[in-house]
Amino acid sequence: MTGPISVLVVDDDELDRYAVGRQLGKHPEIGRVVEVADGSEAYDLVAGERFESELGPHPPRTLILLDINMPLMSGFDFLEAVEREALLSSADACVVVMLTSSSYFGDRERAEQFEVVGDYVEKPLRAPQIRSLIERFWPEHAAPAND
Amino acid sequence: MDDWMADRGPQHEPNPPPAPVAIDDALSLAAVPIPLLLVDSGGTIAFTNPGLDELFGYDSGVLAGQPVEVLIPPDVAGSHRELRDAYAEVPYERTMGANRDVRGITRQGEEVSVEIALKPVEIDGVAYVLGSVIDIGVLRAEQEKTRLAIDASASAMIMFDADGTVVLANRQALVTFGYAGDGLVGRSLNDLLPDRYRRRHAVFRAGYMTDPTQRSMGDARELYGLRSDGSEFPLELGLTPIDDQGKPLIMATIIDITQRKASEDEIRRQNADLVRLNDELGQFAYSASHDLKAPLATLDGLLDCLRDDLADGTVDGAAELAVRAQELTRRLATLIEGVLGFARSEHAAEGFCEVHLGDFVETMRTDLGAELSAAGVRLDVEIDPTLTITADPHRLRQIVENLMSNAIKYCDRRNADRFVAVRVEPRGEHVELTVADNGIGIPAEAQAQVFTMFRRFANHSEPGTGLGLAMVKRAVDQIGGEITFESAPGASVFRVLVPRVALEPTAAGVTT
Repeated sequence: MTGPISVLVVDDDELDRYAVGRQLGKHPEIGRVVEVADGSEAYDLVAGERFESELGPHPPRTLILLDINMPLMSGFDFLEAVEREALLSSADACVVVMLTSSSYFGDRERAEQFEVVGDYVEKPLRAPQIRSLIERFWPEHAAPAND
Repeated sequence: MDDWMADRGPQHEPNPPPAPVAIDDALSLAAVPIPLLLVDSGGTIAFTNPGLDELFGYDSGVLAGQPVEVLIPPDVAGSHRELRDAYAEVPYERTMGANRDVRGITRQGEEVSVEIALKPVEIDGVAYVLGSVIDIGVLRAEQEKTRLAIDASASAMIMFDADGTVVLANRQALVTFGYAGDGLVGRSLNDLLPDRYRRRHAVFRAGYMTDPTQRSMGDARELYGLRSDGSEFPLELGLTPIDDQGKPLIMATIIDITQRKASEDEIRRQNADLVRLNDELGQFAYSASHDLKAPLATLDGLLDCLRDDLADGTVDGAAELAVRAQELTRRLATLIEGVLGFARSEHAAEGFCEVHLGDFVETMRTDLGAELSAAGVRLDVEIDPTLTITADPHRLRQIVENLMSNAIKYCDRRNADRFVAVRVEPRGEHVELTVADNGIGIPAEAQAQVFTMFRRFANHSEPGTGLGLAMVKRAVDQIGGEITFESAPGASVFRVLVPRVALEPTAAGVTT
């Protein structure tokens, strides 16, 4: 839990959060992991003054794993709110990766419209995918491959 | 019975008889090309001209001296004699046979259709009646052909004059407007139109008479006809101006489009159903990708963890993971059952019958008894037990059961006194059914999507498929009702307005 990369997991399903947490835990690059159950909670966090302190080092290197289909504020609602208020825009160290069970092409296309979205991954998220995400977005922090 | 003298024309006293015309030379009548005869006051034929002899098939001159009844079919000859005597008392000029079937009989015994004009005359101081006879048999035959042609038309045809009086109507017109015999001729067009059109129609007709061109009405706007029993029917109308020797007439061709409109409405309704079903299908396909796949993806993720644990030999959490995985499979099964139920509910219909709402709600109480007691929720019912509506009980059940079930499911467990209140009240042509609770409420930001399939507002660890309210909305639509709600933490109210006599089920709603 001392790695340089923070992760915000936004998912209404407790079991999904658990499984993702387990996979994230395999990577030494990952430091703090914060879980929220809904887009609005994520928004409150991202828009709040304590965002950086919640999510670790300065400057932040934060991976936001964002589910789409959530009860109150969906992943897209969250992205729209974030874009509207230009949150996360200054920090290219913040990357949103959609993590969803949806294979619906419309969802993928829609996600690609948001600048802050770096990838679209279908659940479940597996350890090799996490590694390739880190290598893509923060290669300087990627731990040397063990195998 | 048709006979010569019974045809007295209008039923008022004839004008005072004109003075008989004096004829100087009876023989000059022979030169007149119209068949003529002179009859004396005793009914004896005094003279016939060649035209008349020819018409009735006699040799020249042989009719003179014979009673006029030899020219009349035997079945009416007797009554003719009496009427002839009456005429002799008050002779006046008149026509027989106009619009009537007056018959004569020839020497060979054949009947001929004739029109006869009578005129009292005086020759050498002796009173006679001069009768002119026209053979209208050919004319009649032509008229008959025309009438048969018009009657053969599948459309109602009504001819009316500039005053809007019907002068001719075919058989279909009688059927369409519900009249018998000659019931239409002589009627005003107003009798065939609903009250609300009459004033307007008079204006239109006047306008049409000044600029009569053939036109078809009923395309752009809906026209209705009025039957003799007072009922109305939608019609399509074609108007054709006819000039009858300077007299403007209009031939109206009328098609009763009740059936056509009914099929059009039916097609429109089916189309709306198809559009709705298609929307639902699209929504379903989208939702299936999200909602049916989600538990599988989660399960997949959990099994990854389990495999890792087994590989590492850290099996402490393995049992817990297996339990969670199993819960997921059950959740997915429930969801699939819900989807199947939703699909089935589209077609399940019991048909319409009278539903006693008091009994109905009590049945719901029994059926939901286990849920109620498990959640510790009290059910309050306020209903006039005599209240009934005509509806499909299956749809009604979908509505009430889902609303009550939701109210129970989303009760607020922090609240010691938890209740669901069902109230049914008459509202004019409708009945208002209210399901209220003091549960957790629907979050304000979620209320816009309450009736959308798979939308759920509690998080996934709570029960529910996200299909209940979508099904309620659809059932309410199908019985022609309306649903509204208000919700805040601690108070939700769903109001359903149901027609006392619910609409006929739509095609998609009924499979027979």
